[in-house]
This record gives sequence, structure tokens and C-alpha cells, in this order.
Amino acid sequence: MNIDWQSYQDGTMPADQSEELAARLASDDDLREEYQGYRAFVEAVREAGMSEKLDDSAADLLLQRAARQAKRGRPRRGLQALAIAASLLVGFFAYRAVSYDPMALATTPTREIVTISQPEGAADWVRSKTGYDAPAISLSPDAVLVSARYGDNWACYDYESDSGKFYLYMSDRADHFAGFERQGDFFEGKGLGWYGGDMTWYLRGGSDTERRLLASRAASQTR
Amino acid sequence: MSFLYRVANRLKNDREDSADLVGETLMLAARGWRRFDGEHLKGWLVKIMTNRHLDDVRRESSRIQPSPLIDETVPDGVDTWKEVSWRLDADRLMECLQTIPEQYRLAVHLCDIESLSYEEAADALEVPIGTIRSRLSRGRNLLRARLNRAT
Repeated sequence: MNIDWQSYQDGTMPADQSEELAARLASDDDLREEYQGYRAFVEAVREAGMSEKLDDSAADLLLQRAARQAKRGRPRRGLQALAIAASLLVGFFAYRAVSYDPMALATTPTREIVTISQPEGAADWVRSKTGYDAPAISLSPDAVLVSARYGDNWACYDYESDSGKFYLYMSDRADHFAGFERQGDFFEGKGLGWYGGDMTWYLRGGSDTERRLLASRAASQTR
Repeated sequence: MSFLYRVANRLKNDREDSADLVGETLMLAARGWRRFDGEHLKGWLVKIMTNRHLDDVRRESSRIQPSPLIDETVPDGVDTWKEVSWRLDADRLMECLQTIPEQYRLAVHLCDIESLSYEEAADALEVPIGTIRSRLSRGRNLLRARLNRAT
């Protein structure tokens, strides 16, 4: 049985061959079983890879090695790298009921929060935790990312600037803004909401003027 | 971070080497951040990581005798997907994945585990999309053959 299931599944098989194969699959139990086996295999590889036990102490290991190298006072190729990695892995804290904002997209308690200062690291973390296609967002040079968190059906980047804190919430694309006033591309409530990509976004914090400016910047990175 | 560790684990067989590779990748990414075009972050990081890994391999190969090439022929028409589907134990699967040649292992890892598109994976490994597709196909077949052989 030498069928190119990969092409069939990813849609690159020519349409006529694909239709013919689909017709065969509908009537041939053995062939269908073979295709199901292929799909089960691909899915099992994904699950096995994603559930691979990464050393829980990987971050600790980086920090320990950095400390050890620093004590020896010997420069090492990876030392600077370890410091950067360590800054990305400042710490993971699991909370069950830390602050959430029922007025925004976060209608359930925070499940987990991570202190992180790199937008791309935060995006990677949110993606791995929620499955959202979260982009890395730099709100402004003055608003520094301090943490990322998520709950059921939402995630959030937290920023701090001299003028206060900002919270950029994200959720699935759905009608979250019933009753909000529409102002151009934004929905205005206590914060500013918009749709970007396949997601809904909502920015809280700061003054109206500052929030509008930062929302515009953020929105341009979520399209 | 876990994404980078998973890819590093495909390239290195040692926990400390993986940690080093992740750290060095982050360092190089931070240095080269201005060169990032804003698309395919994962692919960009994998590209940095694999290039860094290749440097290690080149350095090692100048000191170590190359091992003889292994025949990687996939037995044609012997195994079936149906047959392998009841042998899909996660630990064994990952062990077998680690034994297939690196180019196929990476294609399977990036496309099947990390769900990168062909385009992203091709960009990350700096090969044409067609090459990624054929490496993925061959990698899956090799993995299937190894799984069948292992049981």
C-alpha cells in the first residue's frame, strides 16, 4: 500500500487524485484503517514530543552553572548566554486566585503567571500555555513588560511605565464588546478593545490619551 | 523556552549540552535581534540554534573519526501505518526518533511536534520547501520502520 498520505492530508495532492482517493476511502475499510493508522501515528508523534519530560530543573541548571562559572572567575562561552536565559526564566509562580479583571476579557482567575521582560519570550510562553497565536508586543519604549499570565480563555501581558501599569488582555475572537461604544477601530469601555488577527484584544490602564496611543501601537502589532 | 529545549534535545544527546545550546541560542538571538524580520520567530530561533550546533559538529568532526554511514533504506511495502498504530508508546517513540538521522529527525520534530508550517521549517533549516516535505515523509517512514523493528 504505497499511498502518499502526506500529500493527501496536507492538501498538495492533485485534486483529481485526492477526489479519487477520498472515494476509495469511503468504500474501502482496509484503506480507511491504513489512513487512520497514519493519522494516529502523526498525532502520537506530536503528543509524545509535546509531553516529553523536559528537565524541571533546566532553569536551575542554567543558574547554577552561571554561578559556578562566575565563582571560578573564568569567562566561558555560554556564560553570557546563561545570564540572558536566566533573565528569561526569572521564575514561575502558580496562583489560583490572583487578580483578575471581570470588566475585561479576564473573566476567570489567573492560573499561572511568569515574570518576564522579553516580549518574544512572553509570546512564546502564552502560546505554549494557551495555544493562542500570541504575537510579541512592544507597547512602547517607556512601558516595560514585567509579566505574562493566563486563565481560562484569556491571557495577558503586564507592562509598567512611569505613569502606571498597563494590562494587555487577549482572548479568542468573539463578541466581547457588547454595550461598548465604538470609536473608530476601537471599542471603548474602561479600557480599549479591538479585534486583531483571530483574536480579541483589550488594553487597560493609564490615562485615556496614553491608553489610546498605546492601543494604536499594540493594534498595529496584532493585525 | 520549552520549545527551544525540545529542539535542543533533538540535536544533543546530553542534558548539559542542550542547556548550553539553548543559552547560546538566546545570546545570539539577543545580539542579532535587529536582523529578525518579525516573521516566524520559532523558525528564526531554530535557524540560530542549528547553525550554532553545526559549528559544534564541525569542531568535533575535526577531532573525531567519522562513523561509517548507516544504510537508511526504508523497507518498502513491508510496514503499514495500520500495523504501527498499536505500537505507539510515547517513550519508545521518542527513543526511536532520536535514532534517525538528524536531517529527518529535525523535519519530523519541527513539522509534527512543533507544528511549524513547511515554509517556516524550510526557512529555519535553510532548505527548499520540497526538501522539507521529502525529509518529513522519509523521517516518518524511518520512524515507523524503527518502531516496528523495536517491538
